[in-house]
Amino acid sequence: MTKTSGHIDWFILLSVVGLMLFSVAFVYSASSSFSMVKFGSSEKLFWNHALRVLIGLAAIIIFARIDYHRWEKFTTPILLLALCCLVFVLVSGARINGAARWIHFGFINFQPSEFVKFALVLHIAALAAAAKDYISDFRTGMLPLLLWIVITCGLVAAQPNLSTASVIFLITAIIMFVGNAPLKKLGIIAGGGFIIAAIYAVSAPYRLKRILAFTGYGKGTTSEVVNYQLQQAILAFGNGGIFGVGPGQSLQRDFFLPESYGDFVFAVVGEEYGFIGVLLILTAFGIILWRGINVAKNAPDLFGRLLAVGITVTLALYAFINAGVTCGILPTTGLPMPFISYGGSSVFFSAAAVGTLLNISAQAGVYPSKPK
Amino acid sequence: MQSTINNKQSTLDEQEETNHNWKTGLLLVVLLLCFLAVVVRLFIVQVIKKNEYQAQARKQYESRIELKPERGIIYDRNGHVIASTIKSASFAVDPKMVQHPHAIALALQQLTGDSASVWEHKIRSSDKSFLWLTRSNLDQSSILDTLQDIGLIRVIEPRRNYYYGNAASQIVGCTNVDNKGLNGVELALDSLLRGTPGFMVMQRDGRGNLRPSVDLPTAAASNGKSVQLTLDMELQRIAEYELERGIADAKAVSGTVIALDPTTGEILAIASSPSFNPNSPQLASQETMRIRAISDMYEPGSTFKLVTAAAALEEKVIAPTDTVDAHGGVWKLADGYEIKDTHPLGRITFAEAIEQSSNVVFATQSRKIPDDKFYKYARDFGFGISLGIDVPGESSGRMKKPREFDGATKLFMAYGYELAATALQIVNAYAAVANQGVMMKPYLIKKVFDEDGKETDSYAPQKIRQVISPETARTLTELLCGVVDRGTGSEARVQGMRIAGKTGTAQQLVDGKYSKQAYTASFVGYFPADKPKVALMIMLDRPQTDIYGGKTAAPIFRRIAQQWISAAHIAGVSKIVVAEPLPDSVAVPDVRGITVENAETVLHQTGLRLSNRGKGIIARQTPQPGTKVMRGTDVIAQYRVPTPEIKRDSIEKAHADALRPDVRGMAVRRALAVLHAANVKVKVQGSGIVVKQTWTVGTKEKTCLIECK
Repeated sequence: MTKTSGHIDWFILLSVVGLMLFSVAFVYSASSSFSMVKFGSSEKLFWNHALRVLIGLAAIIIFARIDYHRWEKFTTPILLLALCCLVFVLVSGARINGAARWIHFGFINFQPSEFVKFALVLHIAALAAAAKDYISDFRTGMLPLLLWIVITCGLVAAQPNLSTASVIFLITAIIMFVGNAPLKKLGIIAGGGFIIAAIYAVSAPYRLKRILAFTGYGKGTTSEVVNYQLQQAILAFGNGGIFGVGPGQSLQRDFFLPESYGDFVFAVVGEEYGFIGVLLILTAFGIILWRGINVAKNAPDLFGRLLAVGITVTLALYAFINAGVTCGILPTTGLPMPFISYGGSSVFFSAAAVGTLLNISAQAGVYPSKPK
Repeated sequence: MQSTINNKQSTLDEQEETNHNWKTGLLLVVLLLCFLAVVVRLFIVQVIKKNEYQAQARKQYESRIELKPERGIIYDRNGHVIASTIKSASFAVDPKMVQHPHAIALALQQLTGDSASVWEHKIRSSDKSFLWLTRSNLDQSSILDTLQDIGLIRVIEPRRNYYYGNAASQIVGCTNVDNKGLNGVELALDSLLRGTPGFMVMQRDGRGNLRPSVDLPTAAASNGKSVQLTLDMELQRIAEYELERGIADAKAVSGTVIALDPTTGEILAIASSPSFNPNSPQLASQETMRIRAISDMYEPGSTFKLVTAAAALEEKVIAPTDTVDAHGGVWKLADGYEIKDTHPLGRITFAEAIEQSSNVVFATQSRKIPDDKFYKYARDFGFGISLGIDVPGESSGRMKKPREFDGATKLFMAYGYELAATALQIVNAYAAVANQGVMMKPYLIKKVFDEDGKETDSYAPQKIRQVISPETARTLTELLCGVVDRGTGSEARVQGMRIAGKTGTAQQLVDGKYSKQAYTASFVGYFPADKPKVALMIMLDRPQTDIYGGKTAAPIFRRIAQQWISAAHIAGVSKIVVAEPLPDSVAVPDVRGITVENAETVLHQTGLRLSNRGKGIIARQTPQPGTKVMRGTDVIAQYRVPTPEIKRDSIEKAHADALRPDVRGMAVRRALAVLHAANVKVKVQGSGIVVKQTWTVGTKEKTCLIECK
């Protein structure tokens, strides 16, 4: 283990640990009714989640102690492994809500897209850092990166999970943007990606319906269901008011709000803890964003900088998109809120990523142990 | 080391540094603006428009309807259904949608007796969207059914039905309209029987009716478990009938009968009179809901002599043939108190002293047993401690400890005073003697089944202790047989079978003095004496025509024993010809609100017949529920085709329609319920367990023929 040159960033660590600990209370409250009906015990999902949070905390500690440079050599095999998982899921994976997104390893259900997104961030950061002198050249600089991105996003989109694919694409574009890829070419690529995504979006009827439903032009049952979910989430927020109805007092979670413990847990938080509660959560993510970018600025090398940007942006974007969907300013997609939503894969990989970010922060010297 | 190398490799020059700084800065600002957008949006929803959304959420919450789980079935030991849940209609209104509040109020006035104006005010002034009008316990909902009003909501709800009416009502208990057990087994096993409720969110359709929506969330209820009791309802009915008759003959205030199987401790029958009808518990008083045999303590009197005799024989201070002095019927204590016998006796054997129930002999002989020994025997026989029976309300009785004894305590206890016991404790002590000196733990709950009829729990007999040796137990049985053959219990004699038993006539304490009018008359015994199958106790409170247990309680014992022997096929007993065939009356069960098929099953189980078949559900019945009629009586029903109802189980029904449920292995009742739920017409052959089913599928309906054994 390499000696680090300073302390980790306490702001990030405290925010993340705070979110994770509170998520146990959120998930318990939001899942108890569902859990009672489904498993006959109101605490089943709670204990699952509490265990995952413990594993997540351990992951933070372990990954924070691994020098991030060590990953640099292994980014290709890591990404290949992640892609293999994706392919495996496509071939044989379990289908939840009509989409193949899970792998069952005995008792562990594993969602490879969570893995893939950080694996790609890692790989692109490494490639872009290595190619920093010739990244402006399309063929030698940008094309190899683009190939990885297209393969990965294509596989994710084939699950089908367009929203995750689009977000991963956006994150890698941001890494390339910070990594000094020429803006004009990047603009063309981003535009191309947007057009492909748009074609893909309208190609499947359910996605088109969701989008139409969001814009208010949809008809039929999908539109009703989508709007119902959203309407229930808004009601939850509104019912919470400024100070909330109090922990465990949510009315909406009792089967009005589908997936109240998963992608819509933010709405239950809004109902139980009110505007104050959601403001605190968003502030925590704001702190992670601010400090994460700060770590990136002060990273000792380009790989560290790009990796820090990638990780920070991934967490912040997911949080924003989840919050945006729940409160109705973005169309409905199934993205979890990092650290808050019920889901083992999301908790574990987000925690691992934060651990890595903390390791970069220690080497960035944002908190030097000794004045230099 | 490594980090130094890396730093060298990719040292960032100044131009790159500025380049990166504006880019990361831009990134930070853009993402923070995104977060700000969420905050603004939530500020609008949660702070500015919160009243609007809160009102909507509340309204929506009120449209959530709880789906009641089906409460489990209570069976007797032979699988007869004592209590089960049938569907019945309740009515509610949506006051905002209601069109004819006056008409509804008039109908309610007819139903409930409350004035129409009160109801109309209640409906008009409600700001809810769901207001209960009648719950299923109300009679005759049919008038409401005829009204056409889009604001009127008809809800099919489960209702508890007790097929044996008053029989064993205190033990079985009853439930309130919210499916909660109030007393007896229904209370003791409430959490098992009740199940878990589900929810359904209702949606308003174009006409304003509440209906379940396919898109909205639904959580199905999970039904309760069923239990099998140790009671034998045939014996129970006989016991109740004879107890009522005996109470009437003796003009007693109340009475109780308790019977158990001495070899296992299973309670076979337990009756308390007066009793109540669990189908309408709102009419019952607390007084009628007590399980007297386990909750009421009394001074047992002579039946307690069993304990004194057992102690004396086991300690070998006396033998049955030893001669004792009965002091001519009166024995003076030092403080001037006199112990008296009903009939003066001189020098007699100990056996004769039991047969004639001599208080003097028992008081004098008890002096030969040390206080703590005497106490130990009484304690071992289960007095002064709770037996831990599995329904609420058990009393542990009262008994003094040896250090609390004064000079006369033991002398009085020897013939059953200065202590209080329950009927259960007395009969259990006799059962221990019947079971060769081994006391079993009395219990009521035999088995627990899940929804699908699979056994999940089974309770085995539990031995408490060996109280006395098998030899002493045999000697005592001989002595007790003498009581019936030659002594005070001769009224309990049944031709062709030996019965062991003991009478008890105890003065009651009224205002601190032993009364000359208020007596407790009892008889307790077991049969057949050589291989006991039943221990039975009869207790009458304050009989008026005759105070003696041998004259009032013993005949009840005899009549119950006679009928049980012929009804219960007690092994090893020659068939006894019952001297007086008795009218067998039953309470008419409530079959309103159920279909013809269900009603036929219900009535059949009670020994009644449905006289006419019809379409729809039964609106009225003659005779009225609860009426006592002879077995085999016809019940006339009036049918009604129900108005369209809200179909809370329409989704399940749609599935069930496509199915052909496999009911093989189920009891007929359950099979009928399952097939009925699946919209199948059913024909039944035989009774018991379904062994075969044959389907006939027509264009409109499916018919299933089930053959049972």
